[in-house]
Amino acid sequence: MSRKEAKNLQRREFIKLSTGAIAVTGMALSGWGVTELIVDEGPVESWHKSVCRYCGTGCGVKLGLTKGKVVRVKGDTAAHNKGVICIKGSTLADLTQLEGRLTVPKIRTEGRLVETTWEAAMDLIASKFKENIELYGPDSVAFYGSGQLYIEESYTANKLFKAGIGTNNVDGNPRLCMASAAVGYTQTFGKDEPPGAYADIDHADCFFLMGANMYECHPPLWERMMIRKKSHPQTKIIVVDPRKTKTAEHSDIFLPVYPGTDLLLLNAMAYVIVKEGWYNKTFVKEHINFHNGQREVDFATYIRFLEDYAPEKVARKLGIPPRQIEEVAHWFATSQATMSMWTMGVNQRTQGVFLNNTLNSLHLITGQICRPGATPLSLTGQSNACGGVRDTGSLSHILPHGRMVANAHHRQEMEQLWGVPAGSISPKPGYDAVNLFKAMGEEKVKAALVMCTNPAQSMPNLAEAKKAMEKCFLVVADVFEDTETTKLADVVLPAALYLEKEGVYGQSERRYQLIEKLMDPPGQARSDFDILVDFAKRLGYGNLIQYSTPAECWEEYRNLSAASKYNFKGITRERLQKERGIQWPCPDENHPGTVRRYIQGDPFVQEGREIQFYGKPDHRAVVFLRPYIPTQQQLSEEFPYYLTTGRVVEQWHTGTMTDKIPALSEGSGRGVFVLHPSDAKKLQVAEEDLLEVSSQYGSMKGKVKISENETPGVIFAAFFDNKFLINLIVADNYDPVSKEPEYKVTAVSAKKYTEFSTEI
Amino acid sequence: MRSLKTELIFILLGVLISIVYIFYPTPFMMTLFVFVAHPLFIFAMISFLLEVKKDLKDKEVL
Amino acid sequence: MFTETVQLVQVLGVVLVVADLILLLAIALKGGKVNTVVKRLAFPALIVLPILIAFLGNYHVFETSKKVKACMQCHVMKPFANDMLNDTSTTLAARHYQHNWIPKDQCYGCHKDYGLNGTLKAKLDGYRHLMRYITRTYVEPIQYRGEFQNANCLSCHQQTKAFESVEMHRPLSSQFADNSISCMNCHGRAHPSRQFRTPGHPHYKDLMSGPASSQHSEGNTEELKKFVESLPNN
Repeated sequence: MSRKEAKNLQRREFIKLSTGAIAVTGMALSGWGVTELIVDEGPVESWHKSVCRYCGTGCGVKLGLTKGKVVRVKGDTAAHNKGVICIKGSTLADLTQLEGRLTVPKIRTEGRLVETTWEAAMDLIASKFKENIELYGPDSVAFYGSGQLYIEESYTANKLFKAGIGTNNVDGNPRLCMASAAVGYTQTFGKDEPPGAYADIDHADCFFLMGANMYECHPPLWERMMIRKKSHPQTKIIVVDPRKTKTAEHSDIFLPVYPGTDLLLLNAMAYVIVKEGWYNKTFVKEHINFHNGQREVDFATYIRFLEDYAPEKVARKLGIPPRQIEEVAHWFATSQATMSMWTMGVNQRTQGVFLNNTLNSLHLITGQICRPGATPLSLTGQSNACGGVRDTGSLSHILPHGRMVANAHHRQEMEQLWGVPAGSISPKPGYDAVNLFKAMGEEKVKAALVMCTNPAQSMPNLAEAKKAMEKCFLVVADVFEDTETTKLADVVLPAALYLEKEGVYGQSERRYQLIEKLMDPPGQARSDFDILVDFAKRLGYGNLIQYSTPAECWEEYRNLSAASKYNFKGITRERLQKERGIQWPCPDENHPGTVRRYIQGDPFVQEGREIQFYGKPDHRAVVFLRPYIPTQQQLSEEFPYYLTTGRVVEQWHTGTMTDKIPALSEGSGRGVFVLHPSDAKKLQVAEEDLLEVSSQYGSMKGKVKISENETPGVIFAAFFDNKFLINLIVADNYDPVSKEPEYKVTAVSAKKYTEFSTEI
Repeated sequence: MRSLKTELIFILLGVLISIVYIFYPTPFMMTLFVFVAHPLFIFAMISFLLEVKKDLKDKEVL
Repeated sequence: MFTETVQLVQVLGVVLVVADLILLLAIALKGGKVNTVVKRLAFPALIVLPILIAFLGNYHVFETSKKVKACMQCHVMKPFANDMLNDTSTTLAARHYQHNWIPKDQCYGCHKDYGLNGTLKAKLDGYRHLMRYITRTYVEPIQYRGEFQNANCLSCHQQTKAFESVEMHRPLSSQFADNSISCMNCHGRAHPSRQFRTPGHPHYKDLMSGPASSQHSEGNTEELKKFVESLPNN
């Protein structure tokens, strides 16, 4: 090899080496680049925090949007629900894209709903309301709202009607689900809304679930309970329910009591707890008063009262053995921390308030309260029944933040806060839901505005309620055109769906969460808030309702709360935008919110006091002596079965939203009568046969489903299906105090229906 | 066929990275193995095969 | 026999590497002179053995990276692993661990798509994580880019009695298949939430330091409050 060649070779080698080094670096970097580019990021352009539309659990969700459409939904791991939602929440994307939306206002002309303009529709409504108020007084008009309106919306309607028009005829569907719990808390603690929080689920060792099918109706809370159970297997789950629900199936102890008898059980548990000395003597001494409904009594009187409820005396009526009552009382009283949760099985009862009182009482006498994991917690059915309706006082007997219409001092306070002349608020409580529709039938209420709810499917003794609505000038603001209620409306107003408007929801545990507007409503639809503000102006109350945006309204409402023990002045819009909801009381912007009330951490508990029930003048909670009174719906030869109604996991309430979502409606099937095999045999019916079920209110036919999970003698039906209006035969008797109807117990007869069967 | 120095160096480096990685699978070594050893091998092999091709062409085998 | 595949890989690795080094040395000793001997040696030294070594290394990538320990070598993974190993934690990962639902290679058990049988995309994503980690081009708390595949859950759960007995799973099979509804929607947080994994959060230190001390209690509300305030607007 010549020198030249050698040099050439060296140069070539150098070039090769350099090229190689560059190539290798290039490959490494481009390899990285490829891995960065190739990541499958899913279809979402931007994620937004929000809250689920449906139930009172109020789960935080993350909504993934692409081109203005929701394409993905997931639980928000930073929210209280720790990322857990349910099947309904998982299909929120479908909800925002449903067909059949109402997009134009319509006025009924010659029996048909005819399209019109907002101007014409609002003018007609305002003139009709004005005319009736002038001719028949303010109590001739009414507002029937919803636990699904935003806080700003319910607050505005309440203020307009009570402080402006001067009628307390403001009620809504929360009357049908939460009223008993609200009255129960108020009577026991002096303040509505639960003392505890969902976080207590993570600390409880014993769960006492009564009249609540959490597995199907509050799945994320159920999952949280299961997580507790799986990480602490000694945790006891006790379920009291006439039906062997999915919840009951997963329980450790299941008490299938006869419908309508459970107050016997609670009193019997109290009897055992006191007799065995399992009550908390210090707690009873320091924090409790006993009351028989008329006056304060002593502990000895309470003990005497309980004597009628010894397990062996009540077991037969309850349909469970006395030993089981003793066992349950034992776990309730002696576990490290006992948490009770309940919903409609307790609230929708003629003894709803008494049951709520007594549940609270069990926690008080055992001292199973005011500690992590130890608390009574009533679960809410609707997304905003607590924040929107109970807290804003949008029921016919209450005013904002725990004030009562019947209390002159409370009225005066609100008149001052709202800046209206003394005497503006009527001292007469308005009509509660059942009586409101009766008053429509009697033509005492002549015009009503119904928003975001479907009473023509949800009211008990439905045929009567529907007849009554036909007599009234009925204005219905709704998202969909085909609800049972819009069919009866004189004017329908196209409303914006959640996410198409902004507002605050308040769920079961006193947590307020903001829902931001993420998309525009279709067509001419407007938010209920805008409709109400417009309506107020047309009625001449522009001075009363001066704000024009939900944010301005919130500012007023938040400041107003400072004059009460609800004080959430510290929950500013900015904080709501940033944080995953805040639990009140929260008096200032630096306050983290209150997880548990009546203990240190609650801003109203004085320094140095461990526990203080400040809702009561002497800071003592009240244990009521509440006797069991059998329901009017007693079995007889004519009506030998109990009918009880409820929800199924896939459907929510009257199904106006969920029943339009294919995955959900397919999952739930249609409305049916569900019977125990023994009843099916007695009635000689098989699956899919038609059954005719009658009560004193009416009769209806439906298909049969046979399930071993039902209790013999009890027929179950869900109420979501508008082709199966079960409320036509449901009793409309109600709790005398909370006025909440007894959906859970109706005495009925049943027989196989064949096309040839005729009445003889 | 001319010098295979570069190929030798690259393969040597690649092999060393591989064996160190096999015994000490730390994130750093794993990254070296995935993002450096592979390109080293690839470059060296391609370059070697090109040399072979050229060689065969020169000898008119191809 | 070798109890661990890793040992087998190591022994094979040594054998192949030593063989290759000898060949490379032999070629090098020829001083760059390319003669017949070199030509004979070059093919195994530069092609065959390196390919075998690369294969072995890649196999090792998939095998050793299945181990929880391997995952924990990157310190960003510590909060996840420590939480999983914490017997008081209630996250999905921890409960799977506590109940021994996945007997070994627990991280990999639910992140199978990174493995040999997974998609190419998932594997490449694994490499991306490596590069990000080494070059320190990541921000804590780290976040899953893209969507966790339901297939990871279904590979064990589908066709089990527990899965089949839940009626509400039935109408959703297509949504599970196309990942539009995640299993995690109803079954919860797999790992500690991003808040907890954010440096500065009261739980962050615990999650980084070891399994025993990490707790998911509500903690000090004051500390939490301060932390929440410090978060950027989202």
